[in-house]
Amino acid sequence: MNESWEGFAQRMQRLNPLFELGRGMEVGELKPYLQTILMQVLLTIFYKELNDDDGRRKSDIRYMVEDAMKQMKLLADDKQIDRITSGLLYQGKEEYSKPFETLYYDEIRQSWETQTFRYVTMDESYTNLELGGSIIYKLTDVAQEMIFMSREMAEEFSITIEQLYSMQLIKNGNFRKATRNLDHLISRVNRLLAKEFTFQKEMVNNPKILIMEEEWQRADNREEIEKQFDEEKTHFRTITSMIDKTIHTNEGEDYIQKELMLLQEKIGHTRQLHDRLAKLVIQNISYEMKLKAENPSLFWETSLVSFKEHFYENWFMKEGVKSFDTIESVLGPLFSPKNEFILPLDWIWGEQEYDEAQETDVVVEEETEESTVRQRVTDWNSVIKAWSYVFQFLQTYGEFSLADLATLPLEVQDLWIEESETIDLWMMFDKKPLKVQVLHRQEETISDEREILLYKLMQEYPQFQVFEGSKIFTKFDHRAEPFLWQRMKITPFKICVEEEKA
Amino acid sequence: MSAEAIKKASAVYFTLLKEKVIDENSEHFQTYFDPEVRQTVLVLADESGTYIIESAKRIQLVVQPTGSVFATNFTHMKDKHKQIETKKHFHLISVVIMAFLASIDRNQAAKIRSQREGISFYGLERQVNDLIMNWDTMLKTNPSFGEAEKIDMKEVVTTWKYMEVDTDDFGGMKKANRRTRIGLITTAMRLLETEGLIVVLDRDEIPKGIPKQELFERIEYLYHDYDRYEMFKKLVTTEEEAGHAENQSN
Repeated sequence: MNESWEGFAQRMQRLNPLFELGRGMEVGELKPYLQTILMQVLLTIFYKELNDDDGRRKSDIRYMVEDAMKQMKLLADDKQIDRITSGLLYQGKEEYSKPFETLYYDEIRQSWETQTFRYVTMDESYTNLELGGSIIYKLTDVAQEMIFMSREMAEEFSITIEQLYSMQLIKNGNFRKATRNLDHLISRVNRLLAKEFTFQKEMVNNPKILIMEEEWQRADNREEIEKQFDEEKTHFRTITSMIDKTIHTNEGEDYIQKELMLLQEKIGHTRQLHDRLAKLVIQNISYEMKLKAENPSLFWETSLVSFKEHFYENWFMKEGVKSFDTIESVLGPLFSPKNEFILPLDWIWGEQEYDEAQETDVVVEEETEESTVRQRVTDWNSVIKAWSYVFQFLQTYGEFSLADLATLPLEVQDLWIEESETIDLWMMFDKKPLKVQVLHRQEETISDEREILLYKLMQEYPQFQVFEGSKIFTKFDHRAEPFLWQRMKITPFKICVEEEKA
Repeated sequence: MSAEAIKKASAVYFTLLKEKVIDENSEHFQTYFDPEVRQTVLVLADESGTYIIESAKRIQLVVQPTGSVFATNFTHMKDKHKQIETKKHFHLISVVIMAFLASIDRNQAAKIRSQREGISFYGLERQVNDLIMNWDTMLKTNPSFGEAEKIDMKEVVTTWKYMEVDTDDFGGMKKANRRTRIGLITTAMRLLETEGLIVVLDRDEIPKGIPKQELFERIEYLYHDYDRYEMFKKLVTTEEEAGHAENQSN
């Protein structure tokens, strides 16, 4: 038996109530709408429970059905409404009040089994059993499960609802379920956190989303949002004090105490996450306000023209092109200048005084050269070998000055000029500090040449794996003079390595 | 202009020439936004026929439609297709790029994030086909449209129409070749990919071109600006007039 069978019976038992909802009712043309109506009714009951509303008698449920249908612009006669109402309460004839029955396949016993369930059941804490009267219904676990399943898809429940629900569960002494519900709350908060982070990134990249997507226009109702966070904080306080009280009243009952401790821990964690979310949201809002106040130009929608409409649809498509030079002029500037000359080393080193006339010359020269496309294949073996000496120095002394290059054995010096990449890498290290994080990556995913170098070095010489996590940067070596080596004028900066501070 | 500013500006400009894009992490990025340096870089850029495209995250260097001393990946591609026989393929590649730009370019009303979806090569093939069929009708209803200077368009339409969509050998990598529409699209997309403007995903299945932020910034600067649109229009009219005069003198 393969994985597809694992837990199959359980899966089906969770799904069957969904499949069965509203099935087998004879309501004619209303049939396609039954599940939607009934799901809406279940949600109504759910929220009534959360709000301690006892309007959950059969007559109330009948009213919910009617109301939902009115909302959905569906027409039904009394008989149909009665049928739909009772169809949520029992299977088959109302007289028998039978629970729902479905079959599922048990993969372990290898047999078909019967599953019995209800969507609603009597809420004993509300139904007045002494005085009689009508039954007040509440959702069964099965129906709640359905609502929670749909929640995952809709991300619908707000933090507040999750909190209220947890309170409800604690109040009813259902601690284990309350703990489980906190998981939902945590996942909800985590999702919101992730969303905020993405938003922050996008806002920086493209501030225009602030005016384009309404959901993000929050700066204007900052107060309301802060108020809501405050309210949520109060809920957490209430939950904590509820737990505390329950701990006291149940002293001596180890089993309950244990569950309560778990609950307490979880609420602490959730609270922390929630605080972090609140902070991030408020931070994003202030950032948003700052952007709007300081850089209003970012938000002016200046583009009345678009490529799609003005260039493509109304011009090229409608008018055709009389000459392809037209298209070339339009597309040309989409591309960057192609530049194949190697910049003089001195220039990169930043040693030279600038002479503009000279620069212009270089540019013109480039013109004549540029039509040859050269493909450079780097012989990494040579590069690694040459650099392994530098890293040996780094490992021992923590730094290596370029000036020391000339003191290396001659055969090593030869290695250094064998591959142009070897020298080029110096300049790359000069760009910005590199935090080494390559050891556990796939080679194909690394694009920074310095990282490729380090990766290959670690593969070839495992002793260099100690560099993982450290920071590599360059420093100007003040003591040394610029020097000539292999016909290159070189500024003697130093490569240094710094261990990560834990 | 101080010597210091010129020095810094040259450093920025030449780094741009080398790297094409400078992102916010580069030291040059900060340097660039010094007003005096920026002014100088802009002069350098203009004198060499290039534009500088600024955004919050990066600056990019591209060539101007005319007067640039620089070659680009695009002009390279053109040079490779100089022969009469292959020239039309270059034209088709240009058409593909246009169709691609149009399909990812939406007006401000559209949501930014959905744009990131990109377009599959087959979807792009349909877009190009729409354009070509439009041209085909245009040429048919107005036969004189194909006279003289307009030969290009007729040829392009015919070439496309008689081209297979795709080769039948399934399983293998999509090869860039001139014989099929998908092959042409692959070439065009590779050009944009080399330029760092898109990424190509699902290469071995149904390949898709996904635009990068860099591309959106270039589109915005070049084609979402009314003055520049007017300039393109004017440029083209002058080109056409010149072409026309040439034809008449022949």
